[in-house]
This record gives sequence, C-alpha cells and structure tokens, in this order.
Amino acid sequence: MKNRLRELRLLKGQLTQEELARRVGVSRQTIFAIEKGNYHPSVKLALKLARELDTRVEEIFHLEEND
Amino acid sequence: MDSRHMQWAFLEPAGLAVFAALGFWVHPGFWLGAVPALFFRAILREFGLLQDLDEREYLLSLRASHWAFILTLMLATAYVLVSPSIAADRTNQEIAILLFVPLAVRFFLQLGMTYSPRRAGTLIGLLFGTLWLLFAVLSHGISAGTLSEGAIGLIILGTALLSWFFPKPAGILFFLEALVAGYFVMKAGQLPSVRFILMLLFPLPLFLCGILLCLVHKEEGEITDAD
Repeated sequence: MKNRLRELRLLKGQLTQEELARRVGVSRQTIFAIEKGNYHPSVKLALKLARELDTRVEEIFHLEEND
Repeated sequence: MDSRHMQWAFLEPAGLAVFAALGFWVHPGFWLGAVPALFFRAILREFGLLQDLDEREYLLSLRASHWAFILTLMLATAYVLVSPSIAADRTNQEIAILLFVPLAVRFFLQLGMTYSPRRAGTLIGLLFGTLWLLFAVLSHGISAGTLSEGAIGLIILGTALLSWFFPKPAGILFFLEALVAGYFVMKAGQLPSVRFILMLLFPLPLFLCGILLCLVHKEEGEITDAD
C-alpha cells in the first residue's frame, strides 16, 4: 500500500508531523512510520487523518498492483 | 519514551518497590505481587482502563511480548534439556511439566478470543476429553484400567457434545466435573508443587469450559449459530 500522507500534510500549510500527530492522537513516530510505509493505520486512524487533511482516505492511501 | 507516557511511567517502579519492600521485610510471599506490578500498565491496557499507547505502539508492545514469550520458552526448555540433574531431581521434572502451562494458556486464550464462547468451550471440552481417552488407552492398553479411566474421558466428551445444544447446563456440568477433578487432585496426597501442576492440568481446563459456556448469550445458544 502506498500513501501520499507527507505530500498532503505539507500541502496543508506546512503541517508538521508533531502537529498532525497531536491532532489525531498518536505519536510523531507513528506518523513518520505511516509516511515511510512501515505501518498501515487502522480504518479509524486513516479516517482521522483524512479529516484533519480535509480529504478522503482514498486520496491518502491507495493499493498497489500486487496488494 | 514519548512525553504522553511520562505520567504513567512511575506505576511499575512504584508497584515493584512496594512489593519488594513487603517481600523483604514482611513476608517473601509478597514477591509474587511484583510480577503483576511489573506488568501493571499492560494489564490496565488489556482491560481498557489505560490508553497511553497509540495503535502502532500497542501493536509493537504486543509483538515484543510475543517474542519475549517465544524466547523465554526456548531458554527455559534449553535449560531443562541440558540440566544434568533433570533425570534425578523431581523438582526439575516439575519445571519441565510447568513449561507446558504457558503454551496451554496461550492456546486456550487464542481459542477463546478467536471463536465465540460457546464454540471455544465445546472445542476445549472435546479436545480435553479426547486427550484424556488417548492417555487412558496409551497408559493401560486393553484393560479394566482403561475402562475406568476412559469413562472419565467419555463423560467429558459427552458434556462437550451436550454443550453444543445446551451450553449453560453443560457449563454447569463442566463446573461440577472441575470440582470433582479438583477434589481428587487434592485427595491424591501428592507434594504441594505436584498438586499445583495437577490442578493446572486437570480441573482448570474444565473450569474454563464452564466459564465460557456460562457466558453464552441466549441468541448465541441457537443451534444454527455458525461463527
């Protein structure tokens, strides 16, 4: 699974990892892990991220060919 | 450590210090309390009373525990295998049997979490009854001993089969069987350590079946339940 979290976060007024983490109630390391593709968030966290970035989950995350 | 966790960080050291002090100055039995004190936050988390970790941190905590479980069992098994006194020392044999306890607990817990209480209770009963029957046949062969010992296995199997149709009455029957098994274990006159292991091996799975089956909700008790 690929994601555009970092890109969308920076588009949202240079939002920092720390600030996004605070808003969705996780640690900064978790945001970092998601951006690096090392952790796939739950549906609930994905929805929270989408809400904070004023977008839809599908805009942030998308499946790859072999998924 | 994340700053969000700092307010909880004192819990384990504080609990450990209290039980260590009590164990040192009052009674050694208090040392037993140090074990749950060490895992105080983890226990609170499992009951939903503490939410200090986000979902990724919680997953990592579970994975760390999983690996610790595997490594601990491997080390303990290796120690028992290479211990020179294993054949002569009865205590070591008891430790070897005790190694099965965490494996059994893990198996039963996973079963209970994967399936509904009704199905898990029935499965544990069927498994336990079958193992009992096999043990009776393998240890006595074709003899009167197999019949008398095997009859207990058949009773457990019968209760397990009954539980599929009537979970709550079968659960009560399992409780009674656990009580009877516990009575015979206590009456056997073994060393306390052996009795402790026998209690873990025999009455406990039956007691667990009883709890699971008594937890079954009315609608879940329908025969058509397919989970």
